[in-house]
Amino acid sequence: MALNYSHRPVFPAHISEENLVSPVRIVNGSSESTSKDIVDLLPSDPFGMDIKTTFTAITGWLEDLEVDCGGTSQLNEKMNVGMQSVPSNLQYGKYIYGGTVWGERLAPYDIGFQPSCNMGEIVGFRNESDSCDSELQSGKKVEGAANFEGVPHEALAFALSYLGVKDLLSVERVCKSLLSTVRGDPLLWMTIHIDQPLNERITDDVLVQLASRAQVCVIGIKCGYVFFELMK
Amino acid sequence: MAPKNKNPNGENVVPEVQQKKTQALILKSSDGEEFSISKSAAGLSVAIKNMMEDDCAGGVIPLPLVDGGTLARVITYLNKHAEDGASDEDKRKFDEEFLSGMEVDVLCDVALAGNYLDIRGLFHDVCQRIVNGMKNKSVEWVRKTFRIESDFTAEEEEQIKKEYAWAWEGVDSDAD
Repeated sequence: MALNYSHRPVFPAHISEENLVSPVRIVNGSSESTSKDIVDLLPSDPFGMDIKTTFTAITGWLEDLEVDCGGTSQLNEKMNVGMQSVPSNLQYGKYIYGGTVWGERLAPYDIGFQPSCNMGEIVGFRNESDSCDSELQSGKKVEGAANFEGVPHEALAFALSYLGVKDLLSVERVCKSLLSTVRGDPLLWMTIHIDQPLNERITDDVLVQLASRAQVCVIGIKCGYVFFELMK
Repeated sequence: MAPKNKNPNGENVVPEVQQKKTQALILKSSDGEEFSISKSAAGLSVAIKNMMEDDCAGGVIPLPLVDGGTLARVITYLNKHAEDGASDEDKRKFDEEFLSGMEVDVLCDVALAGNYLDIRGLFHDVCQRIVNGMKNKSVEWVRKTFRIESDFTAEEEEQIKKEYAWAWEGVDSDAD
């Protein structure tokens, strides 16, 4: 579960190997516009912020998470500390058991939450327009995915984002192309909405499995929250 | 019922008042049919609006991914939604009637067109409609309705079914 920043355009091509080893530069991207020579002339920590130590601590903290995959007791405490410095690809979703179970994907840095065990509370409903938006943005990809011979109408791939978990699991059994569309589209799994009958049967293991279809690496489940990291 | 905006010869029919009121654009479908539509109605499609803003919409706009029948439906929708004085309630009623008369194939075509032309309201409503019928239905029902043939072997099918067996309790039987 190594952190992978490849999706962030942080490194200009001319940055040499030795610049890459510092976690400070990797995490905050401060070296983006400085050439190697200037970097060498600068004091390592001009404002005495002890940045390096801070980020080293966070790196260690993330390593802890790797070890601590199943149990998240320490995780909660850590989540409350220094959240502002957490890399943007560490996120969490929320699943609340009870009458309605629902999941929520929060934007990077939309954090500073208090994990609470408010099981059974109905907090909200799935925001359909959100899923619609993301589907629109990824229009090309979805069309391509449904472009198989003599089979499901392309539009079905769009409509899938309007289905709940149970129906998605049903649809993926219809044929191979739908199976690969449903399983291969992370957007469909960004919001996992589990209705009445299923929430009594679903287990954490299954939830982790389903959540990972959103191409996230699930770190753990605790108190109705699913902690995960984007895998891009 | 929805106003027809296409006569039997496939020519466009736009209310005269509207023609006078706003300038018209010509939309050309994949099969070469041409439809005239007011700029205000066409502007409800984000894709067309962008083209108008970028000034690439001089004269005829070709829409190579939308066939004539579908385009006619989309234009009917746009005209209603651009109509002066149509209340939200009117529009909702119109949408309901407009969509309820469509077969699933047609709905699918309109959904694609709505996506392509970026008409969010239409796209959303149509997708919702397609999906509404699918809720809690069996795999076999989906195959039948959408005319999809299974290309799974019996073993493969059994295996996928087993994987999420917990999810299938209480799903309508295949006969429904």
